[in-house]
Amino acid sequence: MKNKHVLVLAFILMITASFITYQKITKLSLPVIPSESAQAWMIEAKLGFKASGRGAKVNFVLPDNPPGYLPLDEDFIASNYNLAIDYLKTNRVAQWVARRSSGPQTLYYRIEVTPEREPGPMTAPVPPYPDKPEYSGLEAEAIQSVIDRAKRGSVDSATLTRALLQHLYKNQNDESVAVLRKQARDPKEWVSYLEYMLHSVRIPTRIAHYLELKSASRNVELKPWLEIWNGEEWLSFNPVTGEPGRPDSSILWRYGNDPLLQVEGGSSPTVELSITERSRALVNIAEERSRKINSHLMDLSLFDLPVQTQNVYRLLMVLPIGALIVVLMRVLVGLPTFGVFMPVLIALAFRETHLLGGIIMFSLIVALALSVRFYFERLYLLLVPRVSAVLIVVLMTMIAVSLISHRLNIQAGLSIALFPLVIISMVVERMSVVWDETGPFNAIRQAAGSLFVASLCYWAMQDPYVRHWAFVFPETVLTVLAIVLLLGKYSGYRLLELWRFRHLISMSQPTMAGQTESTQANNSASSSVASNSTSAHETDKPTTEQPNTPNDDNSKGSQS
Amino acid sequence: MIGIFGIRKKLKALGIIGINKRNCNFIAPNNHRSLYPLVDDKLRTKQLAIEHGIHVPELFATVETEHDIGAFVAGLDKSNDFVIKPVNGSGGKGIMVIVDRQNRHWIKASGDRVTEVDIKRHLSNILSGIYSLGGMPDQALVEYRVKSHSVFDKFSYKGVPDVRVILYKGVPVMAMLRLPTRASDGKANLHQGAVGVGIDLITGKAIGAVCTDQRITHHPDTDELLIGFQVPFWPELRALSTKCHDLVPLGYMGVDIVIDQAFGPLVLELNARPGLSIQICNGRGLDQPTSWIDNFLSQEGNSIPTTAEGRVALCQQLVSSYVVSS
Repeated sequence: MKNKHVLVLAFILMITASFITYQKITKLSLPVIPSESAQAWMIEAKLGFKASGRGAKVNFVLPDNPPGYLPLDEDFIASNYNLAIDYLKTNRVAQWVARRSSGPQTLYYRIEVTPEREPGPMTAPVPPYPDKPEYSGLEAEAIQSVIDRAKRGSVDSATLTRALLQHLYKNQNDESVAVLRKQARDPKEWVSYLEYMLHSVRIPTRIAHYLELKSASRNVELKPWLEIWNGEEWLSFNPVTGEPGRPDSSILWRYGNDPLLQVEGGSSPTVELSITERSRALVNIAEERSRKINSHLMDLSLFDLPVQTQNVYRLLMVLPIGALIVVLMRVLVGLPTFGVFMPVLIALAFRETHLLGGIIMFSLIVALALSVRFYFERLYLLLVPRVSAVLIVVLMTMIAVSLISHRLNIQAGLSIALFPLVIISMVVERMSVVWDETGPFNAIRQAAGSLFVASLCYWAMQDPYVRHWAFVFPETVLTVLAIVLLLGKYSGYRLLELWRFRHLISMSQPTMAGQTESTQANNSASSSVASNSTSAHETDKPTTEQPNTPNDDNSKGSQS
Repeated sequence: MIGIFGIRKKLKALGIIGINKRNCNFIAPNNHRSLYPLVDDKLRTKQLAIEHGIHVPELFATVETEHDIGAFVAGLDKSNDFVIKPVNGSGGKGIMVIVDRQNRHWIKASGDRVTEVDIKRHLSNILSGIYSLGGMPDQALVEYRVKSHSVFDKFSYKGVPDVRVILYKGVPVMAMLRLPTRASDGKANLHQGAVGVGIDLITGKAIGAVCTDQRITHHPDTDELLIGFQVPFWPELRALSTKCHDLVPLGYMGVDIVIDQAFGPLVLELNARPGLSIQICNGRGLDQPTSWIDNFLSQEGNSIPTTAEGRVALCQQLVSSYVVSS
C-alpha cells in the first residue's frame, strides 16, 4: 500500500521532470550537452557625418527580425543623442536626435545575431499591383522583346522572372539586352531597373538589401536582391544570375530604396559596416529565444537570477547528485561513512584541491587533529569544550598546512582553507570515539569509506555533463528526488551484507537444497499448523484439493 | 566463486534479512517512534519492568548532574561491585563494570584498574552525552552487577553473558546467547567481538556459534565446545522475555536477559533496533518465523495472544513448524 504510494509519487515526479526537460529541449533548443556553442555574428555599424552646428537628426535603418536569424543583443552607442526606434514604411529605423552638435560625429549601432532554423515563406505585406510604366522608344522595344521572350517559356510570375533574369544574364551580347544593361550603373540601380521592367507585366516587386556575413570583414556593402510577389508570398531572386532564393549566409537588413542613413543638419554621411564572428553558448541563445517567444518554460530557469546567485546555484544544484551517491553507497552497497552528508561536503572542497591533493590533505589534517584529540582524551574534558577544542586544533592544522605549502610554493596547499572546518572537526571527534570503542580498524574503515564516497561524489559533481544538466535543467532534481524516494523503500540486501553473511552460505551449502525445501514445506506446514488451531475445515482444504489439482502438485514438486 | 546474484539468491532462500529490510519492513511499520524513549531510556525501562513484576537488576543510584558525581563518588567507599551505565546509551557503549576494589583502586571486569578520577570522568562523559544517541545530555545509572551463573564460567571471559530474544509482534522468533571474550573487553556485544550462540527456542540448547561474523564451534578464549550447551532456566527466561512485550509493545524488539547466580533471569535492557547477526549464529534467517507469524495473523480470527503464556505457546507452534518440515 505504502509502496504503491511511493511508486506513484516517484512516477509523477519523473514524468514531470521528463516533460519539462523534453519541452525545453524541443521548444527552446536548450543544449543537451555542455559547452555546445553556436556561431554568432557581431555586426557593427559606424555612422559618421559632419554636423552643421545646429540640431542634428539621424535616421538609420535597422534589421527587423531578419528571417533565419535570431538577434541576441542590440546596442546603440551615441552620446548626447536621444534615441527612438520607429517604423518608417516597412523598415525599422533608429532615430537619433541631438539639439546641438558640431564637427565630426560618430554613432555606433551593434547587433549580435545567430543563425536560426530555416525561415518560412514571407507572406506579408500584401502589396498592391503596380501600374504598367510608360516606356518609350528603344527602351520600350527592348523591354517588350525580353519580356515576350521570357513569357514564352513560363507559366507564372516566378518562372517569368527567372526566365527574364537568366536571359539578361546569359545573352549579354543580344542587342536588346545590351540596351537594357546600359541603363544601370551599379547593382542597386540594376535591381531597380529590373523592378521597372517587371512592372510592365504588373508583378509587384521590392528590393531587399542583404549583408553578407563573412568573418572579420570591414566596410561591407549591402547587397541588393530582388523579391517578387507571386500572389501568395514573396520570392527572392539573385538579380544577376536569376537563381531563386535568398543569398547564402547573409542577413536581411532592409527593404526599398530609401538611403540606409539619413542625416538632417549634417553633411557627408558615411556608414561603415563591419562583421566579426564569435561563438556564443547555446544556453544563452536559448535563453534569448525563450525571452523572444515569451515562453513560460524559462520561468523555472536559473538564468534569470543575478550572475552571482547563479554561481551559487551552479554549486548547489549538484548537491542532490552527491546526496544521491551517498544514498546509493549506503543503501545499496552499505559502505560505512561518517555522517550522511560529510562525503558530499568533502567532495565540494575537492573541487578546488583536486582529488589526489584533496585526499592527501584531508588525511593529513584528520591524522594531525586526531593525534591531538587523543592527547585531549587524557585531559578528561567535557564533550562540548572538547569538540570546540578539536575545531580550533583543526583550524590551526589547516593554517599550518597552508603556511608550509605557501613557503614551499605548493599552490594546492592553499586551497585547504576551503575544507569544511566544522565537518572535519566532527569527523575527528567521531573517529576518535569509534577508535576508542571499536578499535582503530573500524575507525579507519569508516574514514576510508567516507573518503571513497567523497571521491565518487567529487567525480560525479565535477562532471561537466552532470553540472550542465543540473543547472540548465533544474527539474532534474525531481528525478533525483524520485530515485531517492524509491531507494527509501529498497528492502533488499546491501552489497556488503552479502559479504557479511557469506559464512552462512558456505556453512550451509551442503544443506542448501534441504533448506530451500524446508522453507517451501514450512510455508505450507505453517499455514496448516496455524489453521489447525483455528478451524477444522480450513485444514481439510489442502488435503481435498490436492488430488483435484495435479497441476498445483506438480509445480510444488518442481519447486522443491 | 559464486556470483553476487548467486549469493543473494542463497541468502534469500535462507530467509536472511538485510538491514534495509529490517528498517523498512520490521522497524518502520511495527515500532512506533513514541515507544523508543521507553527502551532507549534504561531508567524508564527499569521502572516499567518493576511495575509489571519483571525481574531486573537492582538500581543503586542515578547520577543526573555533575554535582551528583561528587556525592556519588564520595559514597562509593562502601561499594566495590557495581555497573555504571548511560541511561540513554546504545550498543553497549559507555558501560563500566566494576567487580572489585583494592585500596584506592577499583577493578574493571576486564581486569584493568581504575581510579576515582577515572570513574568521575566516565560519569562526566556520560552526562555530557557522548554515549547517548544523538549526543544529547544524559544521565548515568548505577546498578547491581549481575554475577554470572556458574554454568557460564567455562564459556565466558570476564563479563556476563546474556541471552537476546527477538520478539516479533510479541512472539519469540529467535534467540541467541552472547558470551563475552577477551576481544570484547568483557562486554556481550557481538560487534565488539563477543561470541554469539544460536539457541533453540524450545529446548534452550546451543545450535551454532559465531564470533566476529565467523562461524565457530568452540569459545575462542576458553576453547570449550559451545554446540549443545544448555542455557539454564530456559522456560523461565523465555517467559520473562515474552512478558516484556507487555511493557513496551514494539512489533520488533530485542530483549536482553542475564542469568544471575542468586536471582536467576533478569531483564537487562530492551532494544528497538536489534541487529541481524543473530541470524548468523542461528544459521537461519528471520524471514521465515516473521512470515509465519504474519501468515498466521492474516488468517481470519487469528490474533496475537494477549498473555505471555499464549505467545510462548504460539512460539512453540512456530518452532514445531520447522520440525514438521525437516
